[in-house]
Amino acid sequence: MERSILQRVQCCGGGIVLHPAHRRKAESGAHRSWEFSAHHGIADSVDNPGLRVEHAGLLYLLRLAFLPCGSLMSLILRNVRKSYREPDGGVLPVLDVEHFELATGEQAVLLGESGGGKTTLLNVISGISTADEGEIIVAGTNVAKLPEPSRDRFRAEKIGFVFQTFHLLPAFTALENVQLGMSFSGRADKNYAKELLDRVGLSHRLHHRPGAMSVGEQQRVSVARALANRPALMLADEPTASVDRANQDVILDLLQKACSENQVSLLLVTHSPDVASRFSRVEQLSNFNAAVRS
Amino acid sequence: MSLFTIAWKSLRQRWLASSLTTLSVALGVALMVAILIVNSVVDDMFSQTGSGYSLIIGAKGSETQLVMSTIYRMDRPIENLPWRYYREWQDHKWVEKAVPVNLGDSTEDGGFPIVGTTPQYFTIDPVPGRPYRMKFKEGDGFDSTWDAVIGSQVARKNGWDLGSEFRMVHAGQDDHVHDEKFMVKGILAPSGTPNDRTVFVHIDGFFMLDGHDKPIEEAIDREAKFYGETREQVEERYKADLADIRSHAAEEASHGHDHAHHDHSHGVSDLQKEVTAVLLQLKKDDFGGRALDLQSQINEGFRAQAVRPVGVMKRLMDNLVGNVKDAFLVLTGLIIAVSGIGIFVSIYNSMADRKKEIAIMRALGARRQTVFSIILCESLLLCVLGGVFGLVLGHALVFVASPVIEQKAGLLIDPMAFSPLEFIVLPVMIAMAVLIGILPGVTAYRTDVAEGLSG
Repeated sequence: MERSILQRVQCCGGGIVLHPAHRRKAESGAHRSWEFSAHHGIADSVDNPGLRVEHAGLLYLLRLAFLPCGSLMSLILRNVRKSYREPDGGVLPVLDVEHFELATGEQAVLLGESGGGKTTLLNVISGISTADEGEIIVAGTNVAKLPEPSRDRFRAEKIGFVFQTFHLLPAFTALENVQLGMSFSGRADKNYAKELLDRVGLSHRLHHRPGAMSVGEQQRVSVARALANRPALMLADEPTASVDRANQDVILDLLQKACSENQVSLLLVTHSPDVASRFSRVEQLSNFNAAVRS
Repeated sequence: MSLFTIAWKSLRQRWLASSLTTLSVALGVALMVAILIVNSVVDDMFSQTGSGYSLIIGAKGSETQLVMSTIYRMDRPIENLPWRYYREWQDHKWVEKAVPVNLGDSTEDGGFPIVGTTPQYFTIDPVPGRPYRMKFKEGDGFDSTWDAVIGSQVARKNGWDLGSEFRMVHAGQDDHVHDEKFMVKGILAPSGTPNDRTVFVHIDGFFMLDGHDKPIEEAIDREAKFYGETREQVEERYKADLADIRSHAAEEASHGHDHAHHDHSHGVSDLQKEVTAVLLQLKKDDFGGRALDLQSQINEGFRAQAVRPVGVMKRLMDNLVGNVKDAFLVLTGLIIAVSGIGIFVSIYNSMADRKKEIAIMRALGARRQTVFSIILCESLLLCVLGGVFGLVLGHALVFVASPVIEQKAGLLIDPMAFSPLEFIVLPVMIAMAVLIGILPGVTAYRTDVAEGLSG
């Protein structure tokens, strides 16, 4: 019965996010009581106090179990596999993720070495690349099933991207770079773009081009740009790899704060344990990416 | 942010390449505009000047030579016709106006062609609806023997004004300067026609000049031959004039007349007068067929030929000038096409550098069609800006060059002139932009986002 409920809870999109350790215990039967797993798993994993179920009883958990799948999750990956064809005709598996979840508003870091499939994973989640198989559910939508134009639209509306090398367009000012992201989702709002830049402390640099800004400022612009479309999920690919330690702290603070304030889930990939240490949820990519383990 | 704004910023980022490619298009278009305008002026001059005349009658010979000499003063006159022949046309029932034109002489200063004619010449618009505009001194007019009207270019180049006097050089004899002086009584306003570089003298004065009255015996033979009559018949017709002329000659001989100091103030008999061409304006008829009837009637005979100036010039334009115009247009078209290839190369080469830029836009949610459209917008901006700049530059070129052209070639070009063909410049530019933009656009369309971001 407990196991059945847990499965149903997980099925509802993992309406409750369990720390992998807890999930493994639950699945192996180590937690005989669903209250226990619920209490600890949820309390440990969900940062959003509104979603805590410490005070919820059985009734609440049951209600969760019957909610549509993914309604409380920003991201769910199920059996996602991707491989590349090598020049010699061989196949190189890059991703093999059985299950991964990220709750709404949750912030998690994926720690992995170079070549571990971190960037590929983010590309697959955002719909830039397609997986060979599996389900990629972002904010309730299975991205894997969307045709390319819809994926583009979806990416514009639901996903914010912060890149390692910022990827700001040099011909555009800070304000225009932020507005550019809005243009593709059809939500051009100059005032909101200004507000975002103000929030990242760049109100005095609105009309400066990236070339005239420091790397730290550039990355702040890219954070503002990523938030421009009020995304459900923020993907950050080694966002501090190109900046010094002082800027690293500033950018990570900014990113975490901005995501918290805007109720945006954050999935950050990095190879740096130092960066990972700032997050309460840290996943070793090798733990759930079978392709890397093999 | 519109696609055009994005495209514009991207072009601005590559401002040097963008400016140079735009300039190359602009120069091509400017050249085309200048050629179109100058061509339309030439076309207008050749196809319209003289269109106010129903027919031009002249001696048998080349049609083109008759028109070129009579209307454009660009060729030597063919031969002369008897004055009696002109009179006959003057009295013809279908003829509204018959204007005699005598050609061949030129001014001593500047060598401008002389046209001996009657005041009636200025009552027929050389181009319908565009009458002569002339300034006269108050009380004066082109109605006395030694009066002259000069074209605007003659006045400017020779520095002549109302009241200026000048002498003429006899046709084909550069050293034979007539003693008599004509006085400028009117100056024509610039018209962009050959009249601007012509001097009109009163035909009475023209006949008074030495050598312009045909020797009497020669005149009798000539008229007899022209009309197929005997000498006696001709002498009978001019009996009174001949008696007067012969008695005058006898009187001069008995007084030892020195021809060199002859004042030529006596009248000239119609027998001795000749006319190079007759300009006819016919009375209006319902179907406009009279000109054709008269033309075929005259051309079937052996005395003279009649031509319709518009028809002759149109043929000339189509066969000669038209080909030159086409050659120029093809040339400028090629220049624009080469500029287009320049734009293509510029955009296409930039695609390798812009892979990342396109990938970023795609990562931000831009669809494939969007990045394709952005590249197309860039091509459109370059071509249309080049086209518009070229139009402006072309007109500026014409504006600056028109006084020089007027001075050198006598072509009056309206600096604000506009050729209807210019209307197709922008649509052509847009079509070219689309063609140019397709391949780079497809490259953008196919850009691999993941690869572009990692590059």
